[in-house]
Amino acid sequence: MKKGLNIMKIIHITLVIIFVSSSCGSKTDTYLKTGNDKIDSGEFEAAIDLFTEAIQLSPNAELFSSRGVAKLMKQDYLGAIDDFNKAIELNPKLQSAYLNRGSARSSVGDYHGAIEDYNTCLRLDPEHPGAYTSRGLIKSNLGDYMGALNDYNLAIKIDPNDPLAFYNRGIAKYTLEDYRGSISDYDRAIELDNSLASAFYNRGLAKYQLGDLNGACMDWSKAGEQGIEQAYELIKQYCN
Amino acid sequence: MKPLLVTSFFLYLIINCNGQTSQEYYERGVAKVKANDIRGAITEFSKSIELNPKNYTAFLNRGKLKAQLSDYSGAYSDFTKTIEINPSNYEAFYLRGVIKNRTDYPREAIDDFNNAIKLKPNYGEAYFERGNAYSDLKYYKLALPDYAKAIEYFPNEAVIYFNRGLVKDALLDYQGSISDYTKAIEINPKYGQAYSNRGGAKGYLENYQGSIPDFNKAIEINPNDGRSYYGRGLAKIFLNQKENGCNDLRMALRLGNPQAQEAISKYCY
Repeated sequence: MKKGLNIMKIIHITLVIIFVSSSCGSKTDTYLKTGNDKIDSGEFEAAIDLFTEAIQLSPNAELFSSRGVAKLMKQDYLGAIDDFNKAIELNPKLQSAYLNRGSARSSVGDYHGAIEDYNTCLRLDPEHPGAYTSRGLIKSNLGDYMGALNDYNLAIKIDPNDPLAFYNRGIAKYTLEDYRGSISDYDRAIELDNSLASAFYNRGLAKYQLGDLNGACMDWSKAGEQGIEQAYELIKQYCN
Repeated sequence: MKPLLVTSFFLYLIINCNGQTSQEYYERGVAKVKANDIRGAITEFSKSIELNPKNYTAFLNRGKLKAQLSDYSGAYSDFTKTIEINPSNYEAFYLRGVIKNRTDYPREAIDDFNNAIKLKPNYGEAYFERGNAYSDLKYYKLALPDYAKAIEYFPNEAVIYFNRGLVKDALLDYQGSISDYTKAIEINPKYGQAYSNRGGAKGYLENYQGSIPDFNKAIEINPNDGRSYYGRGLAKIFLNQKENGCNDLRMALRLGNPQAQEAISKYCY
């Protein structure tokens, strides 16, 4: 690593992938739909009240799981995990409950529990790209960058148009000091979603590592324009 | 109506055949606690309860004594009874939470600690125990603010720092755990496990040289500490002192450390 770079931190986007389960059953259906709409519009309390009402009428796994998602969104992790547990108890094959519980467990720092959930989710549906990406993120948190890389590869194989999978693989490659590989992943991530400000920032870091100061400064300035404050500090220090 | 009032007054002072009141039994119970006669005290509190089933302090005290005798289910139902009679008794919530923690129901314990803290927001002990419950559930990040709060109230309790160190280890924050173990050692210089864990955290940070004095100290304090032999053995091996390190691993194995065998077959042949 080049001198001075220890002050440069890669920006990790912590992904909270939320998959609201699909519904079934007529009366529950209405509740689920209205509740999920409320989640989409950010009215988490209202959604929770609705799901609670529906659970009192007739409890089922989907309702618990959806209420868990609403709790997860308002960062009530304890309550969310309780609900996902209940959902899984009622329906051990409810894939979305594992996926979302994985996300909640990861938020409270239970990384191994989260990996277990993603494993279960992938056993139920081996083609689930979101579960690979999420598992990859945790592995990378645990310092298992090769394992993370492997998961991102699988996610990209299943869904080649997911900018976050490319973005995260870019980070893993950067950490493994494959700077060229990481740049091409950030390229693709930006191609798929050009509002990914931290992809510009991180691509700048990789370019800097390869001695492309010009390219690095251009990326940092784009990142800065898109709201990444730290980018301006790098510009002040390295770009004149 | 006056007569009713009089009746209820007499109800409170129920007198049994020996002429003793619930309150008298209660006071005898307290006296026996002071005299360290636990079983005797339980009997007195039971008589007190018999005469006045609403005497929640008798339930609370009897529960504490039962817990002391490791009769957790008995203690549990006494604390529950206390709460039924007096739902604002924060100590009963706290103690029932502790029982739930001890009997492996950390999730249920959290509800009790929540209630205890709601009733008494400066309840340092309840924050500490709730932190432990979160930690048992592996909800490590939720434990951190609780330990911080507990430290506010008990800045000189080594075990709080130690437990927070465990949580930071689980979150791979080894710098953080080292400073907590250091604090625990400052408070209690005989805290063998804190030395051992600090050595382990230094090992994770690949500071093997620094970890050895910690393991030495842990072994000095507790010569049967297999984990510290294991850690020291690995540290020595990574510092190219294979023979010495393997001796430590063999010692760890003799002391029943489960990981030692794997390390021996990996490094010592």
